[in-house]
This record gives sequence, C-alpha cells and structure tokens, in this order.
Amino acid sequence: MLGLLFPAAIDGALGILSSPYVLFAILLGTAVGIVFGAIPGFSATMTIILFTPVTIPFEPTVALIFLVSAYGGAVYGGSIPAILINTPGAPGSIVTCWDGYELTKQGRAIYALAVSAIVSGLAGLIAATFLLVFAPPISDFALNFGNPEMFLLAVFALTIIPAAKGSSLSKALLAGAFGLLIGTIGNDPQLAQPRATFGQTALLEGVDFVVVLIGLFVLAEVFWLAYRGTVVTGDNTVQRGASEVYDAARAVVSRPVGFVRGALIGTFIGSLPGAGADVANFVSYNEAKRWANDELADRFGSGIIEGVIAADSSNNATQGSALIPTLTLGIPGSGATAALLGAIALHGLNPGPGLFDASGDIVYAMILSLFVGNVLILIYGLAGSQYFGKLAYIPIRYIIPSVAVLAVVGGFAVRNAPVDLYIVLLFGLLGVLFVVYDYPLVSLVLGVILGDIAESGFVTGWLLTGESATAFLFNSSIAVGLLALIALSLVVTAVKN
Amino acid sequence: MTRITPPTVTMSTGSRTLEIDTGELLFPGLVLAFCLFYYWDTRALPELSMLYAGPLLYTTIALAVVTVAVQAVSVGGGDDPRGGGDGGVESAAAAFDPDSDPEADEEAVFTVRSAAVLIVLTAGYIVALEPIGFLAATVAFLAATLYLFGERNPLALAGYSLGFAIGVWLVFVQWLMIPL
Repeated sequence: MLGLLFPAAIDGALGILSSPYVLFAILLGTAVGIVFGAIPGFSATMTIILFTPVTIPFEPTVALIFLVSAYGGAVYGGSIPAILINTPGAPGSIVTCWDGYELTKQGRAIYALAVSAIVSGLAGLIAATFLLVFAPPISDFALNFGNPEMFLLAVFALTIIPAAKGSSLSKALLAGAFGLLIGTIGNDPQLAQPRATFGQTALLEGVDFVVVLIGLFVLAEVFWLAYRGTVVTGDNTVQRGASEVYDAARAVVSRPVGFVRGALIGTFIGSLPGAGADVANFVSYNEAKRWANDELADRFGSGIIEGVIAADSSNNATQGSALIPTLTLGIPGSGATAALLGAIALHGLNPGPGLFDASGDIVYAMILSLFVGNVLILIYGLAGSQYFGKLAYIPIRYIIPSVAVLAVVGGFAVRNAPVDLYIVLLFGLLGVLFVVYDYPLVSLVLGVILGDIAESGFVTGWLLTGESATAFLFNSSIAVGLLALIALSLVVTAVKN
Repeated sequence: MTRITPPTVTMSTGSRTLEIDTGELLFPGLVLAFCLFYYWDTRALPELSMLYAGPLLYTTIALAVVTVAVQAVSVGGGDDPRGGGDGGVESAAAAFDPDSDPEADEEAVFTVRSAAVLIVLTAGYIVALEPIGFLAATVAFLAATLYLFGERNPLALAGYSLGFAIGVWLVFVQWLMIPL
C-alpha cells in the first residue's frame, strides 16, 4: 500500500525497520530519551548530543534511529517532572506545569501523566504523518537548487532565525556570520590552503560542528546550571489509583478539538526554523484559552485537563515537523535538529537537499521509526511515567560534574583530536556569553553547519555565472524567490526590533 | 544568588553623554579579535582561496561594528545629572552582589563564583587529561566538583567519583575503543 504512494526507498526502509537491532534501537532510544528528558536541566538537544559519540561504532541506520527515538522520548520526558514536581525537564514543558502540577496537588498526578502520554504519543503520530507526506515533495523540489540557490538558502536560513525568534537583527546576523567564518577554518576546498588553523593539524579538516554543539549546548548549559541551579518546588501528595488511566483516555477522546488544535499548532511551529517546543506550547496554551468560553478560560492554570492537553499535544508535535527542513534542505531549525544533523554527518551521510536521493532508505526508515517511537511513548508513558518522575529528584550537584565529564569525553570521541577539547571549552564559554547577552545560539550553530554549503555554493556559482553579481543573484526563479524571502525576513525582524 | 554586572562607562562632552555598556562589547570584541587574527593568517593566500572567506570576513567585521554601535553605545541628550564630569565608570567594575538570601543553603552553592570555579576546574581537567591520564584526572575533577557543589560525605565523594569515572572508562575506552 505504502509502496504505491511513495518511492521505492520505502521498501528498503521497511526492510531496515524489520531488523531486530533497529527495533531494539527504537525501544531503547525512546526509553533513554524519556529517562534523560525527565531529569531537570537535560533537554532533548543535550540528550542527542551526549549520545551521538556513543553511537559512532554502530551502523548509521541503528545509530540514527536510536537518536531520533531518543529525541521524541526526551521531548515527552520533559513533561513528567513538570507535572509531578512543578519543574519542567526542558523549556518545551514549562506550560505543562501550569495545569499539570495543579492536578498533582489535587491528588490526580496519574490522570495528568496519562493524558500527557496519550496526547504526546498521538500528536507525535500526526506530526510524523505530516513529515512523511510533505518531506518527499519538498526534497524533490530542493533537487532543482543550483549553486547560487544553495548559497542563498544558507543566507535565508540565517536571516529567518531572528525573524522567528524575535532576536536582535544585528546580534543574530553577527552570530550567524561568525559561525560561517568558523566554518571556513581549515583547508579551503579550492586550493587546499590552510585558513586560520592556529598551526593545528586536526584543524586542517575544519572545526567539527558536533564539537561546537557539545560546547554550546552541553558544556555551556552545565556552566549555566552551576550559576542558577534548579529548584524543585513540588511535594509528594497521595495520588489516586489506576482507574485514572481510563479517565485520562476518556478526557482526551471527549476533547478532540483541543487535542487536534494543539497538534496542528505544534506541527506548524515546529516546521519554522528557530521556533520549537518552547514556543509551541505557549502558543497552543494561549490559543486553547482564547477558544474556550469565559467560564473555562478563567479556570486555565487552576488544574484543568484542557491545559495539559494544549501544552503536551503541541510540544511533541514539533519533533516530526522540525525534521522537514532538516532532512529535506539540510537546515535545522533548532538545537535538537542541529544535533541530529550533526549525527547524520558524523555517520557519513551527506545532509542537504540530496539526502533523500542518496540515502532514501535510511531517511525513510528514520521517518517511519517515529510512528513506532510515538506508540512507545504512549505505552511507556501510561505504564511508568510516575516511576520516571523519580529521576527529577537526582541532586543537581551530581548532574553537573557528570555531564561536564561526558561533554569532555564526547568532544574528544568525535575524532580523537585533543584540540577539540579546547574547542568544546571555548564554545562552552561562548555559550554562556550568548545566553547572558541574548544572542541566538541557533544562529551560530547554523552558521557553522551551513559553512560548507554556503562556500561551495558561492564559489562554484560565482565562477559558473561568469563572476557577475546579477547573473549570480538572479540565476533562476528559485534564486529570486529566495532573495524575496531574505528581504522579507530582514524587514520583519527590523520592524519587530 | 550572587550576580555579576559588567560596568557601563559614561562619558560626557558638552551637553552630550555617551554611555557604553561594556558587557555588550564582549562578543563583538571577541569576533573582531578573531577577524584580526584571521586576516593576518590568510593575508598571503591566493585570491581563489579567499573568494568566499574574504568578503565573509569583511561582512563579519562590519556586523561586529554595527552590533557595537547598536547594542553597546547610546548617546544621551545631557540631562543626566551625573554627566557633568569628565566621564567615569557608572557601576563598580564586575560588582558582586552579596547573597540576598543567606537562609537558602541549597541555593547558596549556585553562584557566579561556583560557575567560575567550575570553568577553571573544567579547564584544568582538560589540561590534565594528557599528562596524568583519564582515570586520575576524571576522579579528581568529579570529587572536586562534587565538593564545590556541597557534597561533604567522604564515602559519597569517593564512591561516586570512582564509580562514574570507571563506568565512563569502561564504555568509552574498553567498549567504544576511544583512546582517551
């Protein structure tokens, strides 16, 4: 049936998915994601980054499916401590606290956790369907991109981040340009001349962006945690029994509009670069409140299940849709998808518009694994979220040194180069500076990631178009469209600023 | 919680005051320093090697200058009563506020001082890895950091540091064959 609708690569993907190793990778990856996502201070991004070096010896299919499963599990896992102890495991679950923890205080934690598991799993399935349907035509279209278009696509990706995030235009562009410049370190692709390598042999191959990600998203977060700590404000209240799971299923079924609205909002926001679960759950919660009648709207925040449905249907839906630009264009819109793109590159696949063409079976297997993973989130969540919740009580003083060691070891493991340890430290410090002075981390990471695409697109395109700016910029209707989008992003950000 | 606030420098000429938020200078300053090194390192390279990197370098420098102008510098109309002097530092350099809540024992370990010590310890750990070896460096780093964040039980300190270091060593060195 699927084979009639989708390319032949689907057959290969189904073959990959039927392997017991791959199925085990989904089972384990989802569980690992939920466990780490449930630890306060551990985001989905950190989970993917820290487990990427561990996957190096495995086949790309097993490794990438493990990581994509951990990604979904971690987004869901963040809601567990939000409901149980009023402490979101990640920014994408902040809104879950508002009604989820109120329900816990009323003795209905199991009910709230079960609703969270059901809507997270089902919303994930909806978003995965969107990914499966929309990714192939977008990737087909992306094959029409020539060299100038690839360069303009990279520029567009950097200009849309401040537009989506509402950051300062000059700060976002500076972070992006600095990232692109970091991406040029090493031998240039034309004549193999070393550029800014500080005399380090390892840097002749450039700065590995997984190492940059470890510094910016893991070590910086550890330094930041050391400054602010986490405060667990919840307490243990006696909870009602297992019949709550049945009530939870009824609560979701009787509120289909709330659930589908949240899932669609999450799917839409997740597909935008720069906006992820952290934005989606706020928007979804506000929309749910706006659509409610006055009497219900006033009760949001007091422990009503509509609040949990709005928050958790949207945050899990962002995963599938965030993978659309990541897998089709090679443009990650968030830290988590950037980390996944890093893993894709580390395992020898070529991220970018040619990914579906060159490695269609692996990419489709990743997409299809989301369907299994989201069903598992539902099962794991219903069966054991109150047990996963105990992880939230791990003292932060143990988390900080452990994650710091894993960041250092992971940084080295990427390519066994001692210089990478110093790069991790440097970007860890830079990450703190970015948080303090409100620079978008994603812009810097995106700059480093897109460096290769931007350089080859610019140099080859420039030479092929006769070194003419007009011929380069107006190479095709796609190039003109991208120029218009770049201009629009800049205008929108300037107006917002 | 302890806070750190980089100073804002105020300068006056006539009726105009110029305020510079030195914290906002940090990242653009770092970028400009890197660009300077990049320029010096690549100045002799053939044009083709710098076909993309050259214009990118100048664009980055321009963006750093614009960011300084937009984010760090503000010009006032001279109404500020403090603007009468020759200029000076408005707030004390790197002012450390005293802990505002001394009763919060758990929170008291999470301060800018702790974060700074953690950064120094991490840097020391990275430097020490090669000369003293992975296991010794990791155990020492873990024990020192746990102590920094309030663990005082010697059994917990020794047990966790050794156990975690050996666990990581087994996974990365023995299983994944990473030559740490």
